[in-house]
Amino acid sequence: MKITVKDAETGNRINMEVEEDNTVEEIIEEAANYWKKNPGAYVIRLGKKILQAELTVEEANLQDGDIIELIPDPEGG
Amino acid sequence: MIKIDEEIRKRYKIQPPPQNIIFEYGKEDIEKYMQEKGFIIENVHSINCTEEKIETVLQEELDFYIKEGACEKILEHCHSMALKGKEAMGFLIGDVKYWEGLYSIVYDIATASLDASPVYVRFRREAFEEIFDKLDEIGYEYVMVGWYHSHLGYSSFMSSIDLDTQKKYFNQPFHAALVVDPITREMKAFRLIENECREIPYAIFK
Repeated sequence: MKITVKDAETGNRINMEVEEDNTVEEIIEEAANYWKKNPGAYVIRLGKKILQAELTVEEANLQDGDIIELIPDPEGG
Repeated sequence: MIKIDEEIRKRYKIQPPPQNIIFEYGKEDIEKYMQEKGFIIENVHSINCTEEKIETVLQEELDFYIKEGACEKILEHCHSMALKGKEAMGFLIGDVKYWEGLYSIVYDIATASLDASPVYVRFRREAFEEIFDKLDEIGYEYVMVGWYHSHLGYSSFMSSIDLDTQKKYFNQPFHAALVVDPITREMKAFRLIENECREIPYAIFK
């Protein structure tokens, strides 16, 4: 199926093909490597839910055409 | 197997920057602006902070604009959290446009419940869904053009932890960090330029 990963920091998007047994972590790693980001530094959202990295596409109930978004998790001091 | 088909890069609309400026940092006094809005705190002792202060130089070129309503939300949030003795934080939501160069505009903010102390702040993990609700209300292709947070009386500057956040997430030439101190009555903006932190001017528009 085809899904889209959006980078909230730039508004850029990646369209990609994934399979049901791919994990969210693998998807984010692929997108993060493309954008040269640290994949572990982000909160991943699908609509109003946080996606857990260890879930597969099937377990996360990702559907064809879904958009998942990388959200920063900043710290200030 | 995962296969990337294509990247669709955000297109920057060509448009002149906002003209109806009501405050321009560097030309006017931010303390007076904050005082007029009622977002300063008096008779509070400053907190000793041992965070390393990153030295910065003020850039001359104006390319960062904040809508008045968003600015008031930022100042109000920082003010209310400072009254509780805690730092505030949120995302700057807006867009990036082009007119003789890139510039960024803050139209709104997104924030949520915080794990905050007088010298540290972070979103609570379970609070992200509040941020998602806010993002879903936005009716345009937004960009997180930066973040804001507050200091409690130890002035407005980028600390080493702030700089780490800037480098990790907000390292594009249009990204900014706003640091508000309601006690010392300061609001400064910073940006990474060639991996070096600079202070930048900003304008508030109606």
